Amino acid sequence: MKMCNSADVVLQEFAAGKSQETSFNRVEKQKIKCGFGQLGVCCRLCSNGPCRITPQAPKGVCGATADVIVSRNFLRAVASGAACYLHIVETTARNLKSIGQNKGKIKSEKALNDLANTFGIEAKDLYDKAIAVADKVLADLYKPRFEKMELVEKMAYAPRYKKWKELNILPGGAKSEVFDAIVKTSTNLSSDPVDMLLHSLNLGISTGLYGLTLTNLLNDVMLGEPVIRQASVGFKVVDTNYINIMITGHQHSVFAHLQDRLIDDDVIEIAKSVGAKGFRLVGCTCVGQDLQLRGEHYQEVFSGHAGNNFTSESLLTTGGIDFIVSEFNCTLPGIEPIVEEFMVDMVCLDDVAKKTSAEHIPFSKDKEVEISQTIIEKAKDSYVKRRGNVTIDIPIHGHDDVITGVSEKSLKGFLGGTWAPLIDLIASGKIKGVAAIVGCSNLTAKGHDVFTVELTKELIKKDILVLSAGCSSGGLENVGLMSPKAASLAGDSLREVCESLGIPPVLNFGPCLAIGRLEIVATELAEALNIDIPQLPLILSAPQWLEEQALADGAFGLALGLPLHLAISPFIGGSEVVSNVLMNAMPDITGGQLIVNDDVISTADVLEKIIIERRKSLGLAVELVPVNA
Amino acid sequence: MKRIKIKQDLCMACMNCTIACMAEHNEQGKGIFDLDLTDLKNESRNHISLDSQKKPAPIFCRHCDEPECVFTCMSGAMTKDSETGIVSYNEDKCSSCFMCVMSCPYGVLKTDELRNSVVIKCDVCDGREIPRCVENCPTGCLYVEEVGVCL
Amino acid sequence: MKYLVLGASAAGINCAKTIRSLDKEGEITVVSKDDKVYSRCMLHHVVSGSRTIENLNFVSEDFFEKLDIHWMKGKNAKKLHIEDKKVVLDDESILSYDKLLIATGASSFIPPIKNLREGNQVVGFRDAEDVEMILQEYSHVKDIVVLGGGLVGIDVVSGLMAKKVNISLVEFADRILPLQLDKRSATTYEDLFKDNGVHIHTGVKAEEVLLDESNNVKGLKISSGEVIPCEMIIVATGVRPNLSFISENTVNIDKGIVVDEYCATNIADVFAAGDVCGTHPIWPLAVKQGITAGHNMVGKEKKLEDHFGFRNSLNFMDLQTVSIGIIEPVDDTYEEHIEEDGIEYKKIIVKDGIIQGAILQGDISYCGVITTLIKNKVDISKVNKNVFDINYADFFSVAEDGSYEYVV
Repeated sequence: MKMCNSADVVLQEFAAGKSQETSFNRVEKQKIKCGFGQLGVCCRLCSNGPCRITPQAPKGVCGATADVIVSRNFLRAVASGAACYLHIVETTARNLKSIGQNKGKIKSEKALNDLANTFGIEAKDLYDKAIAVADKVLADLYKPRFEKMELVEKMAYAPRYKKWKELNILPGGAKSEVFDAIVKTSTNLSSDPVDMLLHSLNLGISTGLYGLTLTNLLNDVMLGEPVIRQASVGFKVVDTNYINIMITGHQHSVFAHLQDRLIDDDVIEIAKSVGAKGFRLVGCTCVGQDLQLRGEHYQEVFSGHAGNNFTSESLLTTGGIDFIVSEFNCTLPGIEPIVEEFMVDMVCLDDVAKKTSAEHIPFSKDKEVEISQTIIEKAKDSYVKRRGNVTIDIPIHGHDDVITGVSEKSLKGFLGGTWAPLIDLIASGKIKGVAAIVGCSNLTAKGHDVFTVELTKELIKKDILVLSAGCSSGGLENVGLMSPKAASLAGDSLREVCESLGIPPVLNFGPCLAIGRLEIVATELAEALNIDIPQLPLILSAPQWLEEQALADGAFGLALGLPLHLAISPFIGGSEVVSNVLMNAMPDITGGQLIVNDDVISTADVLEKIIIERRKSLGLAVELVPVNA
Repeated sequence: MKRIKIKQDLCMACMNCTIACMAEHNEQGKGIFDLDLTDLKNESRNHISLDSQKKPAPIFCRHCDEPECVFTCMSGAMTKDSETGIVSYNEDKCSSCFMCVMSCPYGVLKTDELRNSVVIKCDVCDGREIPRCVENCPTGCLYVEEVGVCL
Repeated sequence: MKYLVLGASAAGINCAKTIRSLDKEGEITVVSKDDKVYSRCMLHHVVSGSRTIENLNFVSEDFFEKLDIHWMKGKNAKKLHIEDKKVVLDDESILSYDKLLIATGASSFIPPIKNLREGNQVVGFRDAEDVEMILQEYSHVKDIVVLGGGLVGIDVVSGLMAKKVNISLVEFADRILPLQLDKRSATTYEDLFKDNGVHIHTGVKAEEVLLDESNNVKGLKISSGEVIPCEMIIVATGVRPNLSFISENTVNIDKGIVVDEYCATNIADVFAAGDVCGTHPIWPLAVKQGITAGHNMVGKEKKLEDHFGFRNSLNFMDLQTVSIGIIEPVDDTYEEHIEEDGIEYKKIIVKDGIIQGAILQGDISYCGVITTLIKNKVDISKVNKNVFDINYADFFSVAEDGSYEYVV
């Protein structure tokens, strides 16, 4: 079978040797793209359609121009992406509330207190505090559109909040904003491209502050805060002596109980009764990345992160996975025939990610004891049924020295409780700037993780420190760029910094949700320098963005005023107005800017140029300090 | 000669061939994202027509063995290469009489929208290994095949 | 084998080219009165200044060398001797042949109007020499009359429009282009010409040319009694085949040389093609006759399958029109379908499920299908569509070799 390239050569060779069809193969058969779709000028909103814009037919039947069709499609995509993240934060807040109500496990009192302080909540009892914090979040999410959400001002950096207010893009109730975005983009409603783009920014704000940042912070309370540590990654983390449960999704708190339960003696006994040493969670997709981030607290149950979204199919073909628990995306439809062949049973804890072959067990915190028990039994049964009947082939793949557990707090702690050392390194020019390489992996920007890895290599060569969150980090760690030894790939100056600190030039913030953590880093750096975010020598790139969620993240980046690079157009090329607003006018609106460029080298040059420009305007040295100075 | 062949039953009227043709002949660059679909300058050399049952038919230049467009051309702009079989159109020689448009039996030819002064005619992507329309046909309706020699 | 081709225009050139493609060894000679190969249908572009005569060459520069064809230019045939298969040229040279093509074309016909043939500045519009004369004279001229509002006359007018002269057009019919256009479509052009300062006189006859004592043209009197002052008259009232070198009772002649479907005359080894046949003086038929004759001269039997001459495309002042088949219903058994949109106009005439004629003005995209339907008398009664929407999809079929065919 033909297949695409992966930056992860070992993975690529492994996949090539397997007979199961995966996304790597299918992308070859989907190479021919619909040009109208790529340009975003196909409209299927009514039965007069589908309409497509051509020079001879410049308007749809209803009169919609390319600008209208593209902006509608774009807002719809952003709204769907925002909806996904808002679903995650809603689940997370409900779980925290339930912990408060049932007096469950709170793993970080500090994280809870920090949040309560931010929200202005005073409660003596820890559980009451948890309930109050969760309620604040839920109340905002459930507000009508005409009531602004209250936590935005408390969460956002003040100059940004002011800017958003000025632009009239402060979000009302987040779910209602999504709702009306759907209304707005339906048949013969809005035909104002600029209004729809501003609505996208509005959704970006609720996605970023709630869907991303608050999800992280709420999870920190329930699951423990990230601690910097070294970890193993790749397929090698799969230990066949255990009953291996692969987890896919984004809602870590949903299996908080399960992950603790799996290491209880009685549960280990269940495993032992069928000849295994115990149960293990194998990380895959973003929720694996989140487990890795908090790995300090889960050393026994978590075997390590195996890989990102498009690694999941191949991971299953190792035969080493005995059971799957899914609770959100990225649970690819493509795993279904593979789990059938490898006799892997699945449960799904949230029907938004329901797979045909999975049994749906609707998660509820009240029933978590029972649910965990069911999963344990089913995982055991699946193990018994399949072992001996399937081929197990686990390649030597991955690294053992990946630096993980990086968060806004752990990094600051590492630097001595202040950002000053990092700011000094940037100011002196030893670190030219910071690039946040985030988002997914796709298979179309040169192949699986290829653009992400190549761009990252180019940036670190230019002494730009890379921070990563999302499936991008899954790719970057599997190719070794998040191991300290990768310092040798950096420019002389950045290399020296990394080597002296014992860190890699690419820092692993974990899941895509942690884009929210990067936002906190950016905010705190700006605060320390007393400037606004668009002035920072910091750029954002989601080179291999895949899905609608990534577009909502991107809208957040633009609202924050960050330059945002994408290797693949978000289907806007057909509209001059949309392209112009996002690419040319945005600097004067939010300070952000969309950059679409599918060439690695010129992208790196463009991003470097922006960083240099910003250094100049901040009065920072533009010429680099010699290495040994 | 090599001819773009057509399996009509596989055509879904997606018009990807049409947009591919526009992109290939776009002076602003050949990438799909270089293409301005609101600019009349971008015209396709192929098109999809529907019959009375709404069944789509891909209308592509056949580079005919006995090309009416060449027979009717009084300026020498339309010529058939005896070796490659390709019927080429030389815009500079054309006198804009449009006898070729009137005479193409299959309605492949038209005049350009903007200036009404030249003919929009397939050039088989001017030597490109696989014509862009064929490369971008998602159903396999279009493919290239060697057919018998021409005059 | 010795091939002799008289004439180097559409028919002659295509015949010579066809012969060479089928007979690599044969000796081919082309004789032409012109010393250049040029497309005479495009001479008006030379008048306008947008092209030179050299630019009208419709074959490659090295055509004769590359195909190893002996070209005797600037010479006329003076006498054809069918018995000993020889042609005498005006320089008295004698050429023998095994196979002969007569493609000597036609010449402007100057009608018997009083003083017309006597006037110094009276010229036809057929050859490079005509154009040279016009270009030499026009700078001394303020007013020009074009006599005849057919295709050639309108070509001349459109060519002259680029020049600083007053143009008057005189046409006997009630409209210009009476063979190609109906009243509606002709009027559109007339209005465009008038807007551009051309004086159009339709429904009138030329009665007399006014000359001065040295036979210089001073004006044209027309049947309305009006005198149009002018210093030059360009005559575009028709052509006559060039047959003077053919002796009576040899080659059969009617309106022109009579040929069969092989483009052969009644005389063995003598073929004819193009305007000299006096049928439909249109370029594509001349080309096809030349190709057909070429085949048969080499001994490769080929029939002329396209006799359809009632078709023309027009492009004046950026308004395009095609006229195919009949232009008006003959009687009320003919249905007339009309579609109008601003300056755009389409008319299709149908009888018993067969399209008999069409005029398409303004938008001629993909109209070759209509030409084919008319030419081949294709029955469209089974196509359940507005006649203006009929296209090749309704007859779509692909042959084994990928070529298209019509399926009814």
